[in-house]
Amino acid sequence: MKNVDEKYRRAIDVLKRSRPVLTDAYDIEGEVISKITLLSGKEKVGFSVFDFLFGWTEIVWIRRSLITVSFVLVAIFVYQQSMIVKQLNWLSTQIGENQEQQVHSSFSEYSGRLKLLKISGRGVQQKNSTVSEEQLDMILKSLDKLQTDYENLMKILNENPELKELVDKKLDDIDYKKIKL
Amino acid sequence: MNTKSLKLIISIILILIVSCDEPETVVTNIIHPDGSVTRKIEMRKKDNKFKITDIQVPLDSTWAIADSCEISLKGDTTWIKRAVKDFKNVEELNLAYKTDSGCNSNLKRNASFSKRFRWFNTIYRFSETILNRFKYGSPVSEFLTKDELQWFYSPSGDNEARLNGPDSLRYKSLSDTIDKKKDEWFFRTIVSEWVGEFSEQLGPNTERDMCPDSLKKKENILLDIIKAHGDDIDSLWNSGYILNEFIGESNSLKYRAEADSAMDIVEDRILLRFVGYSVRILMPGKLISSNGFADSSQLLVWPVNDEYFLTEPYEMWAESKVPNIWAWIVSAIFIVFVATGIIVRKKKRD
Repeated sequence: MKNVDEKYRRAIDVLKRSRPVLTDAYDIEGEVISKITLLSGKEKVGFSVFDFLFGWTEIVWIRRSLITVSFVLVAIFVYQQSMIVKQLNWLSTQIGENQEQQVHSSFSEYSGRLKLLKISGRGVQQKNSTVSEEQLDMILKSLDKLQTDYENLMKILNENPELKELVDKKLDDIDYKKIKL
Repeated sequence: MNTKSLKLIISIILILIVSCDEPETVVTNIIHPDGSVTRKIEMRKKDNKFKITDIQVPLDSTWAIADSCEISLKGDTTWIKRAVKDFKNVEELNLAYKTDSGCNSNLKRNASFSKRFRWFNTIYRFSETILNRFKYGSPVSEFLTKDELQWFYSPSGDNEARLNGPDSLRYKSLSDTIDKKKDEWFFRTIVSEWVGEFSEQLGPNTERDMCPDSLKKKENILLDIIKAHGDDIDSLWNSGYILNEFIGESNSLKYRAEADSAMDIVEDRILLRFVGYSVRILMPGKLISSNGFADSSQLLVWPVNDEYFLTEPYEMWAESKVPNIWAWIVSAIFIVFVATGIIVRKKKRD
């Protein structure tokens, strides 16, 4: 055992004494330092950008979820835009160019005709009538106006019992005088 | 109170003082993204007498009102009254409709507004609806074809232009057909309305041949009589001929009062006062859908005529979209980020 230990120690001493002969020691030193720097730099970049930002790509469920959400967003966008384009095309055919600024306030054919029938006791034949359409329109309008004003007046009278009583009294007086005559 | 005498006296007085021309009115609704509505009313008249009761839409002293006049080259003067009011929301607008005392106050009108978030865009919808006057009539769409319906709802100016333009013969024929069909629709509607009201008057406990379904089936009898004796309807009604033909002599005698009452109700419904006007809507963002027409100023416009809401509600609606720019940016960044991640992963593996 002692012999083996002795041999080992001797061999180490020989190796320590026999140093390598360096021709360009400075060059070798520079090369080693630059390689070490490069390696440490590469490791640093890989960690901060790819692992931090895109680390999720290695987790299957996150990767799949994000891809699905992306596709859904694209699909929604395409669907919405195509619908809007479709609606706009429909709209351009549907919306006619109306040259008149506004609709004239007039009675519809039916409403007017029926009103006329009502006033005349449903017996007027429009073809034989000597009254112009404009005059009829005026009559109908004034009748309508009269109706509305009458309703408003009745409202006022109903809200004011004193006024109603006064009007009643006056009307009774008129009726009484008429009978007398 | 002697109502009839009062009505007569007041009628005579009013007929002397009343002027016959309502203003030509255009109502413009400017819709804001928050749901508030700026409503502008422009009324044009030959004289400067604007009465609240003559105006087609709600208007009161809370509006900002400005008067002006225009003199044409011929020397005709047109008086213009412009009114503006901001409504916080459509509920406020609906309240104004409920308390309206103008000439169309008997109409049931309402407005609605909705805002829907759809990620890339926000969709706005505004509508104004006038509810139907008749309860039992059939919709006009059952009588007119698609093309005829388009003509029916088109502003009169459009139709007149078509009648005077190229292809006028085709449009004349179309117009005549529509007029005939409209007559058919209108008379049928009146008959249905009377039958419906008559059934209501009779109540639920009637004989089998007088039940609503049975009466409804016999509507054609009434319609045929109207078509055959158009000018003598009144005398035929008073003589009891129409009712005899419709429900038989014994029922006719028994239910005469109910029939007359139903007729009065229908007549009152027909004679409700209405004066036409125009509605314009200006939506936020880009217009994507509507059932209106474009006027000369490229605004959406709807004519409001009483035949449009005789048997079904008349809805004037418009939809627009406002793009959500932030959502576009967020989406783009997200998609680029995911795509980059996938590319990087693939390169790493290679």
